Amino acid sequence: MARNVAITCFLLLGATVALFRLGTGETRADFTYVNPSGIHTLDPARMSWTQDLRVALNLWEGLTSSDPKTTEPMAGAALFPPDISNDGRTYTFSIREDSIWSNSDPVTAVDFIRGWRRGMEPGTATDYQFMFTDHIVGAQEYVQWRHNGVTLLTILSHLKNGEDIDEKQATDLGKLPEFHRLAKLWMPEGAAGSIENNDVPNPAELIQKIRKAKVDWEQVHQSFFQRHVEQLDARFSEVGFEAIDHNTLRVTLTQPCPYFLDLTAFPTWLPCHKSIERLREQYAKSPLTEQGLVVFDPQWTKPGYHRNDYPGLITNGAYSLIEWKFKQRARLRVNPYYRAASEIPCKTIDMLVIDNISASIMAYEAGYVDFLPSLAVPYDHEIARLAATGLRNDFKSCHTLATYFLQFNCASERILGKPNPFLDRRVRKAFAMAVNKQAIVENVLQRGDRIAHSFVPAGLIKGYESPAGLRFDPIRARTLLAEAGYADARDLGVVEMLYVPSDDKIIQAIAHMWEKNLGVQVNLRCEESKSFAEDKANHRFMIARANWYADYYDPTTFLDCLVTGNGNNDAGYHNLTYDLRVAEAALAKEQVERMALLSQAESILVEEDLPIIPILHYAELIAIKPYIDGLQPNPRLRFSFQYVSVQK
Amino acid sequence: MAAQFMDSSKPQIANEHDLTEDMDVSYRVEQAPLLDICGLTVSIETQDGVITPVEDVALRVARKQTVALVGESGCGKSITAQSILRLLPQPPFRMEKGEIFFARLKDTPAIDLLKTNERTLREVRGGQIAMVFQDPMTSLNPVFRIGEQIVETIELHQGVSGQIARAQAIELLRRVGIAKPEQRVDAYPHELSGGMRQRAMIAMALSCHPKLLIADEPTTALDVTIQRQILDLLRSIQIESNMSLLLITHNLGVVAEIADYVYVMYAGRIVEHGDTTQVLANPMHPYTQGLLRCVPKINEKSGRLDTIPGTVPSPSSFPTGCRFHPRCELTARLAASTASGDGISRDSDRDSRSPSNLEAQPACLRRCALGDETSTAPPLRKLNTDHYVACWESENVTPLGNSASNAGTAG
Amino acid sequence: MIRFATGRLLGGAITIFSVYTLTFLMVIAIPGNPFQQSQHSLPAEVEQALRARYNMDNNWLYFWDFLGDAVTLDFGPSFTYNDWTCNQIIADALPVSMLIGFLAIILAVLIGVPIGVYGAVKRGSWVDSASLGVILLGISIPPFVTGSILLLLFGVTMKVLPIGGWGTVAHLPLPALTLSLPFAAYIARLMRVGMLDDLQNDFIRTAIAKGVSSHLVIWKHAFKVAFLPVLSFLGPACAQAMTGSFVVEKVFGVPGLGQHFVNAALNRDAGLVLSTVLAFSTLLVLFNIAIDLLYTKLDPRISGAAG
Repeated sequence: MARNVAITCFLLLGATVALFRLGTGETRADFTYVNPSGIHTLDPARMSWTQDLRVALNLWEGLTSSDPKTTEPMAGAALFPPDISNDGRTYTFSIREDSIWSNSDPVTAVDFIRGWRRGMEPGTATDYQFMFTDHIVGAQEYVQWRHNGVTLLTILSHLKNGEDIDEKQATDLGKLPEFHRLAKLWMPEGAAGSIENNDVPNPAELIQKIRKAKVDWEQVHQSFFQRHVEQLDARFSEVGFEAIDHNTLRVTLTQPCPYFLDLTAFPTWLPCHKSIERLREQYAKSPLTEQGLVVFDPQWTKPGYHRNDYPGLITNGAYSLIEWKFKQRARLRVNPYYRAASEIPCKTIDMLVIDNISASIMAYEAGYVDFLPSLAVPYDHEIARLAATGLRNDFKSCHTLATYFLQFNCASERILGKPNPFLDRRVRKAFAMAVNKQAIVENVLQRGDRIAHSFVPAGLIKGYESPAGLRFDPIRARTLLAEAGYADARDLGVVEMLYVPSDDKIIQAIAHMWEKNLGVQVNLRCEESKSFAEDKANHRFMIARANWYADYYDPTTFLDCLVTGNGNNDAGYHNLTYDLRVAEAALAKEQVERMALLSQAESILVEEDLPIIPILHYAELIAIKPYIDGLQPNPRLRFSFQYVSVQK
Repeated sequence: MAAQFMDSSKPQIANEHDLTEDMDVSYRVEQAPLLDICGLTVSIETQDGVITPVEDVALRVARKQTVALVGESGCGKSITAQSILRLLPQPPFRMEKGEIFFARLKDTPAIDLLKTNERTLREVRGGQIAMVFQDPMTSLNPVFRIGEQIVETIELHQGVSGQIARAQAIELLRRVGIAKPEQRVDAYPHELSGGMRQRAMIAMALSCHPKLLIADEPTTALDVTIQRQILDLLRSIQIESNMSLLLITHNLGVVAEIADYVYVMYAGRIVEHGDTTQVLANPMHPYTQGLLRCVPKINEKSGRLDTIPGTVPSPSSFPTGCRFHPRCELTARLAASTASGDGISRDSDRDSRSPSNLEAQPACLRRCALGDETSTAPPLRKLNTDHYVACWESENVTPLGNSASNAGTAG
Repeated sequence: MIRFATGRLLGGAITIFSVYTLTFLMVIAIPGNPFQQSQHSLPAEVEQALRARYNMDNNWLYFWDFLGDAVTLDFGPSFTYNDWTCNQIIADALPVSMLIGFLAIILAVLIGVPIGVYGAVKRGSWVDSASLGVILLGISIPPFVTGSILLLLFGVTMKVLPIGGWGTVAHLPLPALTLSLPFAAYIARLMRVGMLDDLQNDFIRTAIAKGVSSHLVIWKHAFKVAFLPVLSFLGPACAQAMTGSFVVEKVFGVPGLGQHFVNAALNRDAGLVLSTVLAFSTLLVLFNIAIDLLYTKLDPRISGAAG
């Protein structure tokens, strides 16, 4: 019987191996690099991860591109620089004749508008939607109108399916002017209150009224849906995009935006090929779903997807996507129709997904990989040392446009059952001055990060001068604390720091510094990232870690975060003077004046009020094989592979 | 008259004629016993030390003879039987002394099974000496069909396989009295009754026509009615196939039924052996007498069942001298008669016969308890050609008389 | 037999449903927003649209809708990886996990059985002590340690095998071996105990008395009975190897389902969590049933009605 067991084992072994058709592997691409976490999404309108952005900018080309060394805007699919009106609010782009999609279609203005319209649709759920609504004329109104329509249609479709609505939905319903207009039709007495009077109906009462109303919800839904669809194009035409002719594109902004050409290089502004229309849900029947959403089959980003005659992903950049295996690898190949295709040295690019960074370093050392964009391992100080001393020339450090900082809870009156001490700026200032940032950067992390005295990384944005910030001064810190009424730091009670596991070393160092320099008692609370995000968004913290990566090449990408009411203002910071400065800067005519105003605003942040304590600016460690040319560190970790050549 | 002492360590012949050296070799070989156990001593390493459950055992089986080895549970008879085929695992067990001679082939001298190599031993096992065990349920492999298990033996020793072997197996099952053997051959052991299982075991043992069949308590686990059938079966097979049979049992009735020759074993030693009719008719060892007295007789009205007082000693605490002496009625009587009316009864404690009290005892009792200068245990003494007994006081043993003649009908 | 199988399948379906319900309750109970992915806070309208899109407005509707779709093998979209459906993710990853798990079990049997058997047979000798030592190490050393050591040895130092990844036959041995060791150790232990027990049985003595060679006594007579506990362990072991290979997948970069499962939980990706949980639990249940049926075939004593 044992013999049978053994034979069965060997047979099964052979059969399974044969079944899975594991071959001898593919040929190696011209250039191979590692993406540790894989591609999350290739939809340019939806992506936000740096790794995804990197791939997208190699597959598509926007109106402008980023310079590979400085990341400043340069020519892309359109002629550079575009025509800018005198008041700085109108941009006219001429799309180049030699901008061609990977299926040989020429790139047109409509392609860009198609992509941008997708980005404004609620169904696409674009993270960077604010880029449109903040700058483009009519964009905010269009988005709001669409959103209201979708909310109403969603609730109506619940009702017409015989489902009940809950309080939250009733609350949302009550806030919609459209609903009030509708309600007059079938609730003569009105929905108790109206928007004009700022009077939102009681949700519970509303639910009751709806239950009792004898209404044909199907019909209500249908009629509202019709009206909404009819108005779609008319409403959209009020947004500041216009295709003058097939390769001229005019964009109208609400106010001048000095960094607009940097924005147009960002993936949210990429064009979208018309073949995507084949994958619209309810295609050919109606442009919208029952809930009023515009939705496309998410598989449109796949190279081999052919439902409904879809030709697979078509892109207009230097490369096109040949293969994408989830969490395994992706392969890019030169787009033959790209204008500089013949000059591109690396014809095929392989992106390998190796989750374990140590394993990716092993693969790099063994020669399977040419480039590692991330070396975030526990022994990264070793790597930094090798890079700094020149022992390993292939290890390099990128000074990034990113800041790691601590946030105070500036909003809650009480926290953890006692009054919030951080409402007092003197206390915040004291804590900020008690942190020895040099020790953290040089002794604790040893990674080559830059000390951050300001929120916006100093010296990286042309024309902007960051304020000097505060220096490490524990004596002054204690004095300040005494001034605030805490001569004995123990009167503060226990101070709690909220952080995520990857910050272990930094947070412990800072806690120790506060205990030593101020005499406070610090409690550490570590949470996994999703729980952490939730607690932070709900102001359930005293001090929390935070970081911010620049979205575009302007100080406002950092400074807007702390404006009152900004969605990213987790600190709950509220300072009218600060808001005023930022608003003034937005209206400034001259760039010099604008930058000065922004600098003034920032000095309020980092020298007077301290809602945040900037700690350091990240140094990203990367590894590039010595035989690779055309790749260099840059502050936004953007790597264009079309400039890469292999000297072997 | 002094009994003739026999040196039990030399080969003996269980016929009337003692062979002498001027007889020729062929005759000697022909008349030599099939199986000859000489002076076998087996020890076991236990947690409490080394014990010797079998000591100086000599036993012979001649061709076509049925020999019974009788004794109570724990007297060492199973160990003796299993030693023949070296079935005892050697780390705890050790064959201290002795040889087991087996006349494997007709014209060659006998081999010592205890010292022969693995290959020869495997040929002998199952092929020339077969064994049937006590509990057929556990002795048969539960996950193989009985046909497969029989065929395995046939293929092993006879070199035939496949259909021929299967046909033989079916025939064997028929021979041992299993009805519908063509169906039963594919049955699993748990699907058969106790009696049928034992028959199947016997069939398996017989499959290669062994010269000697060792049956270790073959009927103990079965009902009384089945016992009779199995015994009859064994007997008929033995007659029919000229096979020798060594039967291990504690049941004197079985012995009386089918054994030609009987060995009585007590506490690891042979205490009496001889022709069955003689031993049963005229037992000369107090232990054998005790056993026979214990057998209830159908035609006698009796009040209580007779027993032998005391219990069988465990191998870790065997008494000195004659191992039976603490329970021996002879010693009790002798002790009583010399104790001058101290009121010592038959069931009195052993202290009266223990070494410390021996100054007061007569010399014969001392010898029972301690032995003499030649040996501690009594040697086997020849009473007549087919009757030997090991007792210091064999002259003083009173024959049982009439009570023995009924032993054959009991059981 | 049919009745037995049907009964077990029914029980299995109930088990799967319970697992699904429990998982669902946990998914809606834990804090964390599945749609919050970037550093920017999610605008309320956007989140609302997403919830409507994924049918997550109403939890109980979602519960039944998802289950109903799952029965027709439509697992819906992944919330985190927008470009992929759960079907695609599972279809890509599950065979990988199954293959590695399967190979690991086969290796575990091929390694563990001889170690256990020889340990039992040569009880008390150095072979036995060595086998016990191997068993102890195999159970104690965690897979990421053995995996990393093997990777270093074969991938970096000797350069005979690739450093993680997937796609060729050469990617199979190291992860399968690493995964197999704890199971091999346990199988060796079971085998050893079973064998020691089995060798005490009377029928072993009968086999020896029949003249069967010691090799056949071990591998034919004793093995079949002693192997049964190992066989019944193989059912849950197979399922465990296929579903519990997360650490091995991480060390070797194998694109299996284990890491998707863990990442989905960390990302609060409800669709993917529920899909993988359903996939795993179905696998577990089916394997256990299969092994039970196999067991009844092999051990005639428990096959109920006449075998």
